[in-house]
Amino acid sequence: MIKKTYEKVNESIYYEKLDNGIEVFLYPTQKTKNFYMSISVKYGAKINKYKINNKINEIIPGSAHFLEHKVMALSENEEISKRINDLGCLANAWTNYQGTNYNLFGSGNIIESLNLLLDIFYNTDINEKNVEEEKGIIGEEIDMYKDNINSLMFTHLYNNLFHNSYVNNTVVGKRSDIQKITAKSLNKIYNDYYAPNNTFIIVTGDFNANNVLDFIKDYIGKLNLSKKELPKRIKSKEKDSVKIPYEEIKKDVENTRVMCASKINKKVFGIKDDMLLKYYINIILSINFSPTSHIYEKYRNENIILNMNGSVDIIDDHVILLASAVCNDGEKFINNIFKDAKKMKLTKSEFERKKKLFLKSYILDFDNIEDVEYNITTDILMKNKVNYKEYSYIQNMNYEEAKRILELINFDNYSIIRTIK
Amino acid sequence: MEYKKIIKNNITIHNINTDRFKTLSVVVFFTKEFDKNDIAFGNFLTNNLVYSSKKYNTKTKMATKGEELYGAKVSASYCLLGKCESFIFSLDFLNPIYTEDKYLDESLLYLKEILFNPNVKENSFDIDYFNIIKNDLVSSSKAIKDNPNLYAGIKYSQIMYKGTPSAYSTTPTLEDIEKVTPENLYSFYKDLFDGNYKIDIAILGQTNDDIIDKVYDIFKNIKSNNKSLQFKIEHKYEDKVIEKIDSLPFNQSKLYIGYRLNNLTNYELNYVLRVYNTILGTMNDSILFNIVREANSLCYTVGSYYSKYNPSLTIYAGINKVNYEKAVDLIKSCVESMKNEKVLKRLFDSAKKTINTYLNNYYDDLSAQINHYYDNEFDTIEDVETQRENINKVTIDEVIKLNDKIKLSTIYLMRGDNND
Repeated sequence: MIKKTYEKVNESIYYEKLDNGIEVFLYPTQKTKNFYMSISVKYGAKINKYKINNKINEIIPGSAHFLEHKVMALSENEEISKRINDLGCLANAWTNYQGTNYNLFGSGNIIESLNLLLDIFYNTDINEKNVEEEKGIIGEEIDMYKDNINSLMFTHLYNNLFHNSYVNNTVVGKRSDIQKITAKSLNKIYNDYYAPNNTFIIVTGDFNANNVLDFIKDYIGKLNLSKKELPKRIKSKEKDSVKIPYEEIKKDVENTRVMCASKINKKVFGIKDDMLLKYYINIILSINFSPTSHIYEKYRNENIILNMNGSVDIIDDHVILLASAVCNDGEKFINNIFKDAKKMKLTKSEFERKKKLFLKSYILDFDNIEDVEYNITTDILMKNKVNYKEYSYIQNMNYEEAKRILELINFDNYSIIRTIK
Repeated sequence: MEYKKIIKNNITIHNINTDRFKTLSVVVFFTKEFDKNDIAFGNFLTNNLVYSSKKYNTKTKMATKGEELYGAKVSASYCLLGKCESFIFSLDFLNPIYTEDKYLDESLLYLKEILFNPNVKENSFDIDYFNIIKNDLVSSSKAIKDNPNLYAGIKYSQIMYKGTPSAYSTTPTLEDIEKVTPENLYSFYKDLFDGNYKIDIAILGQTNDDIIDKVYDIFKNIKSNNKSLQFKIEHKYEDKVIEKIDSLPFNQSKLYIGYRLNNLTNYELNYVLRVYNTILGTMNDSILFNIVREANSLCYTVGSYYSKYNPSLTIYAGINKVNYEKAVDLIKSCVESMKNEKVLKRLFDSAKKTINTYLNNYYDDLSAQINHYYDNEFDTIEDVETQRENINKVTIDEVIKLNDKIKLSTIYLMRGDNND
């Protein structure tokens, strides 16, 4: 095991890569009586086409999330169900575009709980009957997201920004998509992607690292899993232009919701590290669109908005800058925001102040074992490595670079989405 | 962790000294008996105080100061707790060992500024900011219907808890908003410090006498009362089942089924009910999850919760409108199955283990620790380890007997009439 220590906070992680490629991250700490563990696959909803053994395979939208439901099908397996009850654990799972995560929270016997989590992951039974039964449940989940105005607007916005990207589909898919999913299609994905060298395990909480690692090695050893050739994601070619520049969604909501997004090719910024680029742009947007900004104050005082925020996302080769607002006067917001966005600025003191917020967040993340697990998972899914030097990474961000990035930001290539009654 | 309760000048200070967290929290509670006329004032006041002050007289300046203090944050809320209402002002900031010593004093001054130096001119809140907050409240009052979960929950509570404080939501009505003026809001604000409320201050983190003195110093000139208040609501409800259906243009329908809990002893309310609710609707393999979701594929979300202070049990589910009758029948049969020893036996020990896991979580939850000591001022709540002992003593017979005291009261459906 390699011990890796995070800067400033004196917190350590133990890391080991097993022979078959499974990566293990252990965060033992006595600050809690509980443990939180997960096993994740670097396979999420962003993959809609892939190549393996010289054969190209298409994936039905919503499959990654559907597969998560079937792997975590606790009530279908009486033995698993009984064990989870006996341990008094809480089991859950989630899927996003980057990956799929299965987790367990508990405070009793950690080895038995780990055994259970791995049994759930490695003993799936996906058949036509239980796939059909799951469609009703997932259908209700899809309807629930459609009723969430924010989620609905994001779905439309990304669909309008992109011509041919994975974000043109939602993680859960549409009702019509999931009707096409079969046991055969899910088993194919499970076999291709749920490979040891595409998987990682994280255990956080009160435990002995050596005992836990020995157990994992023993368990995985008995499975006789070898490294596999991993499928290659086929990325669709995406144009720099936006597909639809303006859309109105008819929705009987009290206040007009507006999202204005700019699409910029990542190459423009000349920064290879997506996370670093996101940090810089986040600071710039926060200085100009958050409650500490003059634009925010002005819009509030003129009764244009109720609230507003800026955020950044990177989708393959494109950076998306987003200003979203709940408005009293949507028309006025749209008329003003692009003019004001072109006048975005930052000062050194503002830049340093915003860095403090990132540093605070870094320090506080270690108060909670679930946050530690989540941050490692996100690091691996986004960058394939954990950043143990995040403190100096943030400290080393400099004002001159932020100014350079600000000059490269433009709002000429945009898409707007708004609600109308 | 060490706990010390100090009473000075009728103000109760709860000192929770722990190195478990990297933050220091100072939470101030102003509590009195609920008055429905306070809802709009409560919203105006909490929003105004954190929006701007005399020194930080714009939203930008107020937010900027917080960021300068490494993201120190003062949040303010108006809450309903059973028979009582409370104003809660909460300051959270990084333990100065990770920043610089000066941040302790500066963060406490930030809280002091927000509470005691409001943006007031001539005994009246600043009219411009008052109007901004007013617009926000009008919007949020009108926008309740945009959030189907929230709206359905409010409508259900109005029926289920009619005639008690639990029937009210903390979102004010348009009529009540109009009654608030910058002048009468200032009078309401002054009442906070004039002996009308019981004041509790919780300090959690690596504390010491110096920090306690500094915090007390901020509040030493205000008046707190020492009235004995209780959260628990005693109310005689009508003995009939009410079924109501409303509709809104959403895709999913929200179903709420409420059961009244009659004459529960404290032991039943604190322990037996918790085991009952866990088996019925909160554990991984709960009866509702298994029957309504897994065996019949009727929903994605289903579960149950209980109210201790207005004794009741509520079951909720997100369903398709065409399955309404079937879902109601299934949920009723799930509650009926809580009388079946064989069904309970399968889940009983596991439910206790699940509760034990939740109890352990208390040690990792800063708010839970603060609320534990605050709630104890208005109710008798055992410490976590005593709770654990009592949960482990609960028997299957006691869970079965609880059914004699549970009675169906309300069935509410917010029907989603969209088919997008």
